[in-house]
Amino acid sequence: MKRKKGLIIGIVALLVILAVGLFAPENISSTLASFIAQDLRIALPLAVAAAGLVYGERSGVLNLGAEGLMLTGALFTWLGTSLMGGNPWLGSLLGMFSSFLMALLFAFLVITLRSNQTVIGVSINILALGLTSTIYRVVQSMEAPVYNFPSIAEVLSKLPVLGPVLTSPTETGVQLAIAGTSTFGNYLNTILSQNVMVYIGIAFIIFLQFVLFKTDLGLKVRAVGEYPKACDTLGINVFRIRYGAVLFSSLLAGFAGGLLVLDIKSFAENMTAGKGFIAIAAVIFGKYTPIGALGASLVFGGAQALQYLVQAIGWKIPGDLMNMIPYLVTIIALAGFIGKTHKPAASTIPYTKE
Amino acid sequence: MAPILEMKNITKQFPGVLANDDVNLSVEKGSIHALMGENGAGKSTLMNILYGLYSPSSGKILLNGKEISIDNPRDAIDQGIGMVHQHFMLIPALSVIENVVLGKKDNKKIIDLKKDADAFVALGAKYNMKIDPYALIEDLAVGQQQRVEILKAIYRGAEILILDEPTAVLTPQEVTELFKIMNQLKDEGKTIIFISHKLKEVLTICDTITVLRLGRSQPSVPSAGTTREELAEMMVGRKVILNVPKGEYKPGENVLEMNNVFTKKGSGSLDDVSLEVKRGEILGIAGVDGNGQDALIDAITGLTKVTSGTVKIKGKDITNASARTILEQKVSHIPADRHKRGMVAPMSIRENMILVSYYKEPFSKHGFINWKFVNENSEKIVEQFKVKTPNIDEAGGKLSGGNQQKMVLGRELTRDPDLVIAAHPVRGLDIGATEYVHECLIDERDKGNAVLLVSTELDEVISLSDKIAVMYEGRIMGVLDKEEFDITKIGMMMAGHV
Amino acid sequence: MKKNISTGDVLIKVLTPIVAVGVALILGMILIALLGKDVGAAMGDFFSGALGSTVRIGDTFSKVAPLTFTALAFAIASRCGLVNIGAEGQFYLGGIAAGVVAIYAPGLGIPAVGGLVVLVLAIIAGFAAGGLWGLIAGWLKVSFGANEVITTVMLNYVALYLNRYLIGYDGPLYDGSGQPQSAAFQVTFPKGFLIKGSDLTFALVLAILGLVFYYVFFFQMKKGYEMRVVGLNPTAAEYSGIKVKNNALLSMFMAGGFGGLAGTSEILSSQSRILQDFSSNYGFDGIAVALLGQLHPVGMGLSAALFAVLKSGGLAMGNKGTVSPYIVSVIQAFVIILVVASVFVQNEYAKKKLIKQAKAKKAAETAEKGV
Repeated sequence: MKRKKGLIIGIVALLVILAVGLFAPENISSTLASFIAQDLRIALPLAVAAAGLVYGERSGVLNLGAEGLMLTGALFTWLGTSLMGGNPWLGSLLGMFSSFLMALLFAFLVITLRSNQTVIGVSINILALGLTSTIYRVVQSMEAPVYNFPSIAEVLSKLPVLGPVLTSPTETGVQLAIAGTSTFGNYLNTILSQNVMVYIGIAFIIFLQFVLFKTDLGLKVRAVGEYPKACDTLGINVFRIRYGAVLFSSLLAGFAGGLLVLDIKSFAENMTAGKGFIAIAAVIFGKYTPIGALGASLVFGGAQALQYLVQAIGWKIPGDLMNMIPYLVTIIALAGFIGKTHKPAASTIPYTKE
Repeated sequence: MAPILEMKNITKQFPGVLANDDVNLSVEKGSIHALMGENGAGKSTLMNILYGLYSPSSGKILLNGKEISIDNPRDAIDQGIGMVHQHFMLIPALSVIENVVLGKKDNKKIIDLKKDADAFVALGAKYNMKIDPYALIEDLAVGQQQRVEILKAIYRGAEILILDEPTAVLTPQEVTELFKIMNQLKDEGKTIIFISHKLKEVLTICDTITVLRLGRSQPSVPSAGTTREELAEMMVGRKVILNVPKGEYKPGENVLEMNNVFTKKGSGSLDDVSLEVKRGEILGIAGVDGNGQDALIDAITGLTKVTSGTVKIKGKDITNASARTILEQKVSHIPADRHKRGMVAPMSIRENMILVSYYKEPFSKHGFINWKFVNENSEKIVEQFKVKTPNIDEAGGKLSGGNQQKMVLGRELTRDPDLVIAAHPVRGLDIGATEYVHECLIDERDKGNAVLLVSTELDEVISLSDKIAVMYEGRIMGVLDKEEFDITKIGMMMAGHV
Repeated sequence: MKKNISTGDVLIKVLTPIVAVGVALILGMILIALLGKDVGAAMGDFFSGALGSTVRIGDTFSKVAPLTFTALAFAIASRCGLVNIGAEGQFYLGGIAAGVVAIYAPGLGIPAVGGLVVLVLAIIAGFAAGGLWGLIAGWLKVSFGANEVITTVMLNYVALYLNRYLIGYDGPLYDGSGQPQSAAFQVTFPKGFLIKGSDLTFALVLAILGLVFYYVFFFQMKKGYEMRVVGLNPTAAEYSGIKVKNNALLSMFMAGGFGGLAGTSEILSSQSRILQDFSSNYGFDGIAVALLGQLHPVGMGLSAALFAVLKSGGLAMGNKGTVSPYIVSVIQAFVIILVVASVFVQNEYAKKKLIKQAKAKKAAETAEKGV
């Protein structure tokens, strides 16, 4: 089975990572650990957005406005978090809601009015860029402290019995108990000390994979993207499935945009800088599956994390050239793998009920 | 016995077309009821209304004497109505069982495919059908896909089963199998509505016949005691000439010659094909759809790669030459799917008229298109081939199907061809346009040109051709002379028996 | 045979963009009001900034050339069925190449290389550089099937960083001034064309020539006809012996070339050296210009003029600090959305008309029978 191949690659990668931690000298293992940690941090928003986009794509809607949805989500997550005393949970809710509204416009145009998905997607991006930048200039002054989601150590430390076992206190807070136990412990600690959202995100992506391939709803989504007319003859409401998939994916895109904000704790004009498009590329590269999209996001995240690696090694490469790498890697991934995946047959074709 | 289903005064208005005009239909329980008519007579529209895909402009539907409303296919399925569409409503990328359970109302949130697969296999066994529930639809042969469709409808509890042109994709032998299944279903008390335009089949299998003509229903007749001629007249509204007059058969030298041609492996690829078509001859290619006819045409016209063997036109080797080089050997090609290949729908008629020769003088000079000549030439073709249009600036896509085909025909035949390749040239056309197209093809033959006619309509192939080659799985099963034309024999060859 | 294009159809074609622009402007004003700004003051800044004096008008119209060229970059690809979102990157590449010629060619000491020759060389270089940048996306599409929307967007970012690198402190074009910028151009397009004291240059004439070329190429030349066939129905193109891939490559080269010309005309008209991020969004403006102009040469010319006003008025508002110049992007997006969505309304209208006609005909028939 083809799907097994990705699994094998994943397992091999995990084993290599473990082996390096166990057997490599400390300077190498710590460099690798921080590279992986950076990769996970950068990949998370991409993977969350991409996993949602898989649903839209599977239902036959290519949402090239993902970039705009992320950007909208970013601004309003920032605004929401600022207004709610820095609470990232409430802020994210506002971000998701704003992205949802944008997607509602997109969905109405491409599903109900059957407008060209590409052109509308692009115009959603222009609209989002204009709106967020215009609004940001006005609300900029409301800036208040923004906090990110808690780290995994903070969350674990609050568990009743296990808390003290898994974590240990430090002068400023808590850390995972494995920190400082050995070289390998430090290595694992660097990799595992993530924001709790990395863990929730990965679990959720696995859940999305399950829903898509094992449930009645997932079957409908997949079928609608292949042959909507056939679904119609079986009494499936093609429009409802497509609306649902697009709107659901917009929630994740908005949330992902918010993650970018929470990560740097501020908003900047056009801060998504192509990440929405990279997420779409991750969908294709990941063979239109949520877990595949996660894997692809780790590859793209790795391309961006390379600059930390290069810094650590001490190479002097101009930053502007390093900044190109994620975009170049995306292009190469698209060119190299696109023909080898099965694209939903009805992708980008509007459905007309006679 | 009271009718299980009645459709009363059904009218359906589409933009520009009145598809059903006060249609009445009454179907007895446990019978096989034929719905006959020419292409465009409104059969599919009527059944799509019954199945909830279209809503009628007016009229009502009664089931077991009670009026019901069917707003969408879900209502139809709930009322025990199932439909097997002419173009199968199966999703190629999914497995058989995924297709079977898709959209089923009693599905659990997390689906248990195994349970359904077992039940489905058991149901299949009842009708002597063996189907692997986990196979992907795209890997199944057309006949098997049809069985999945029929079983799928029954599995969902269909009591009334609509079969839309089910025999179009089958060999005569497979048709016999299908009829067996239909009779078995009838014996179980199920009701079948059989849509067809094939006289013989209808008289063989059906109990009652309703004919639609130009969107209106004719009074139903019992099949016993009705003749083919009577039915044909009901369908067309006048006596039909079943034989097209043509000149004496005087074959000349070879225009097309194919020797041991293979194309890239895949479904419907050519497998050692050798053929010749002579001047003054129509060679008909018979076969069930998808048995290499497309690859045959593509191999001749340079649209697919020939992996071994040679293709010659007028003695010149054109194997794997570019499409343009081949067309320049005075080859005209009337493609199977005119919308996809034969025309550019959003372009005007005059722009469509130069699709193949725009680059040549006098159509263009020094890189510029000579619109004055193009316009005059287009006007001429439109007149000669009776294309009905307000003017040559009209978009090709806005013409009716028959007029589109006349436009393509006019463009291709005015190029003074030596070889005419016509693929399903009358598909979707009404009787008038069909006769016109056939006359044009015979005219080419009588002028001494070679014609290669590909069609899945056996009647068309038999009545037009001087010789028939039968294709099966990319191979030529044999070439028959006029005196050997025999439907049983051709049918056996279409199914792969020599 | 008489022409049968009804006046109603033409009216709809002309009215649609006008209504779209009107509605988009109103939506823009509503947004300004919602943000708690004084709409009247904003509009005042907008109009005085864009059209307040003859010189201002000249400055505003200096933006027509780059806008027309980026619109052509979108339209040419679009005619061949491709979506070129990469005009922004092509703009950078064209600008850089033209800039390099304008900096270094005069210093080569070749006596024949006078001012005009340098400009011609710069234009050629700009077209070629942008064209090759576009060709990359074309090649990726044709050879690997990579979605050109994504690749062109990615290439936009690569171009942006490439420019930053070239004029940055480590870059080969850095002038050592302590600012990330190149050396000054030795030759530029002379300003004050038509309107003295304004930034307007004869790049405007080049842009009009570009539109003429566009018309002649697509509607009078066989190569353009061929490209349109590919754009509208690639399968039919193959059937008739047209090489689909070659056309896609050529159209992306031409589209990219015009994107490059946009950069060339902007950098040699309004700037004196290559600076960071010198595009100010022209690539995306071009998409709106092309769609609003319905890919028609005259339409694109007119909408380029309209967007020049929008852009320069928007910048004026930004400079005065009333509203972010990005408000123009909002209006642009609404314009595109409204124009594209109007297709649906038009189709529905046509369908309704057909049904009405059919019903009238039927009624007439029944009436006849009744008599």
